[in-house]
Amino acid sequence: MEVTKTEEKIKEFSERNLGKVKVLMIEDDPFITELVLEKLSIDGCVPYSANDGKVAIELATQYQPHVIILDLMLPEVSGEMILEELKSTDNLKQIPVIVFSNKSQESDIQENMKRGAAEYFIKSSTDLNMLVATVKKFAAI
Amino acid sequence: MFWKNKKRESVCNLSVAQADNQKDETVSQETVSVIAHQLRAPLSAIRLTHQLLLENTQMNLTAKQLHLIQQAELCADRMVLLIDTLLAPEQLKSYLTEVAPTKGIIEDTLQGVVEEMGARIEHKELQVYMDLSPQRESILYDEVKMYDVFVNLLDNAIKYTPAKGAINVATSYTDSHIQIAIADTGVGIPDICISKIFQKFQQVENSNVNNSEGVGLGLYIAKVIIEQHNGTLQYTHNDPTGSVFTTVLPRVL
Repeated sequence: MEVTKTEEKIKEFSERNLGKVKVLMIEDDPFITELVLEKLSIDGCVPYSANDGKVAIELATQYQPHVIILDLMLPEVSGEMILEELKSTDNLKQIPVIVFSNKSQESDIQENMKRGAAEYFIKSSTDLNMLVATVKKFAAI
Repeated sequence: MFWKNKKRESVCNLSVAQADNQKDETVSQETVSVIAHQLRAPLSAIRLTHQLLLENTQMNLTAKQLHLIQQAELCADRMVLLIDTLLAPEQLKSYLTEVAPTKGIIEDTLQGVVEEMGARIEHKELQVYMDLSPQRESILYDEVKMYDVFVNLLDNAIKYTPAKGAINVATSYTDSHIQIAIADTGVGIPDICISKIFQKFQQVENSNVNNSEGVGLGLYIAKVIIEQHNGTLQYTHNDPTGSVFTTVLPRVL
């Protein structure tokens, strides 16, 4: 019964947002999440968020976002581990992942690009317009 | 002119933090790196907020409010640059040694800096006198870095000058040089501390001033950048109280 309800909810969500860019943001800072989701909404995307790895993988599987925005410093499961999980899971590995982190060392960037990130943004230097443009470029719908 | 380059008796209770050996410097760099990294998270939120506010026309912000947000964003921008510099000592080295001079007018740079700091000046009810030479000659200098130099000098003047005090920004020209003097009526620096103020990670400690916002790099960076322009930066006492930082730059590099 619960499964049916969830499936209906997802179907309804998908139909309602047909043609729009679906973005999953994985971030544990609620204010940063609010700011980025607000910007994505203003620019016509359909954003939703998860604040930890377990919920993130569940949401990604259910809603199949066009793009994922991923913080690295997260409680319990790190962003690096989530990225590896996403890139090794059959129905998720095709989703472009934009890393959005304040880890700014060149080694952080290189390692996460090797893990399969499509792009890397350092939060404190991020231009929101550029972030959304990158989301839309990768969504390509 | 309300200030003069004369020595005065020290009236403030000051001392200089000691960081004379290599070990202390290493510890300081590690501390700076940790603090700088921690600063990124709140700074990110501040910058993203500014961007949303500036973009969202539905909020019907007034021109004054938009201007203040723009100024705040400029400050946040500078903080990002500072953090980037502090997190990478090798980048600090290249920042200090690579100057890219272009033609510009020092007086315009000074006016930009004073404008950026307008809110803080207003908040402390300071009088700022712009005693700028009408000569306004175009010279070769790295405008971005010289802007940082003047921000550091003016920041100190604001920080160490009590409310309702005065700051004087003056330029003058000789045949071969331009002189820029930033003087304040603040607490000044005692003789015992002067020899160390241009060294890395040195801060003049003062019970009347909150030093927590600084890391003791501002005057060091300023002096190195000015020397990269074949110029000089010197400290003298103001009369009867306060500091004068005098920059002398060649008119032709």
